[in-house]
Amino acid sequence: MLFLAGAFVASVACFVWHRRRSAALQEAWRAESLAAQQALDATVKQLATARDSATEAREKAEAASKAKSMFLANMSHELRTPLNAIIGYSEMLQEDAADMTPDEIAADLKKVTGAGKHLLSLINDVLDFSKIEAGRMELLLEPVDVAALTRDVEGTAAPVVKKQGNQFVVDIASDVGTMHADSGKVRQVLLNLLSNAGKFTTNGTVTLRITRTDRDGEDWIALAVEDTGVGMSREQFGRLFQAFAQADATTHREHGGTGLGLALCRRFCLMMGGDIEVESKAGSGSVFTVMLPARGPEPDSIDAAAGDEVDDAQPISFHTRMFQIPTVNGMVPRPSADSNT
Amino acid sequence: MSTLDTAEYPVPETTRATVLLVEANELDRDMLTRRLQRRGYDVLTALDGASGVAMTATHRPDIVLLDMGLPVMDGLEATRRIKAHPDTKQVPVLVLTAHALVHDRERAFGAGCDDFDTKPVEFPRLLSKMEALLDARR
Repeated sequence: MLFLAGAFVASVACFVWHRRRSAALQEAWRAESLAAQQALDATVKQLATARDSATEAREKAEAASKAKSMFLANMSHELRTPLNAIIGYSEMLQEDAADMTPDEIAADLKKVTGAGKHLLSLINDVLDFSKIEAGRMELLLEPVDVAALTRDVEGTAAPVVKKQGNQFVVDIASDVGTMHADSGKVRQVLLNLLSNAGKFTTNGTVTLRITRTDRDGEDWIALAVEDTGVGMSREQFGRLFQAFAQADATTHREHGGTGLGLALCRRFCLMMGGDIEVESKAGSGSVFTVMLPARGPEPDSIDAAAGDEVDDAQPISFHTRMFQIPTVNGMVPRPSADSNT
Repeated sequence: MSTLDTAEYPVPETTRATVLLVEANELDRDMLTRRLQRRGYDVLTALDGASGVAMTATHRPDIVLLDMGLPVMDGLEATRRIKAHPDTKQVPVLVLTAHALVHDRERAFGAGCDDFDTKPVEFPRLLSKMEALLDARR
């Protein structure tokens, strides 16, 4: 009897012990599996992040590769165009010179020269861009007479700007004075912007407006190229300053260009301590304003703008802050400027 | 008469035919017009794709030379329109362009052009292509 009672107690104790032990085991197991689940979740999350950044990197690389292929195709077209004039006119002159007057020959030779110079400027753009990418572009800073530079640019740009029946207005404020800059680069930037304005405007007005303004207590020179042309959509605007890109694929077919011009302009402006501001609206024209500090760039801005660390895909810096401008009676309102012509 | 003719592209005998040159680039237009006139062609010119299509219908040229990158209506669309219209579809269209990639050639033929040539113009080659198209119509 005692034995039976003892056996019973023992088995109950054993049972309880087992139950307790298995509850503890279950608890431990649960904790373990929770930890494993958490670790798995973390790994899945990491994998997802890694996958996302791999996808992003692949998309970027594909976009870059596509942009470069497009650039090569555009470049091929751009180089062939002046070559067609150079080869065509010179062959024609060889065939027909005997029947032509010296004046006629000279007129055709002038076209060959013009096409040759255009070809040279395309090649120079490519070289400039590779120099910038390699961090080898240098500035020649000197005091620049802003009004004189503008008049000089006006003379060179007038035929291109007026080509499609446009009026060319040049408005230089009386107080523009001098600035510390690389006059060759400023000239190149303005000629590029004016040529674009002329290209995208027909029977309208292109205005080159130069003012001296105060920004954060410093003197800045604002060189604005305003047109009443086709303007841009927000999507086109986003691609504007990317090297090798153009507003869109059809832009090149209709208007030509290598897609390097604006990217170069912006790099030059950044090197000189400034930037380019853009205001545009599809159908109402565009205003490209080059803002340059009158006293010249800080030494470090030159280095920062050179090399490939500038993200051309992000042109909307604090300077390129505006996108759309309101229109007044369908006209592009002009920035108020105390100026005389 | 030319010192530039090569064995590869002998200059064909050109014929008295009317060519419609649709070309926006002033230099290309001037140069090609003069060179074609010199070879005995009558040359009409249009400055954009839309007027190219319209002039093909009104003037019935014997052949159309068409650039691809044209304002108002590009060369591909102009080719499509010329080939879609019963009155003009028999007029041979030769696309002449500085867009010289295989892809561009395919696009041009896809739009229905009869032949394709690239700029810079290889003049004897262009003339052979034009004469081949003109011969086929006779």
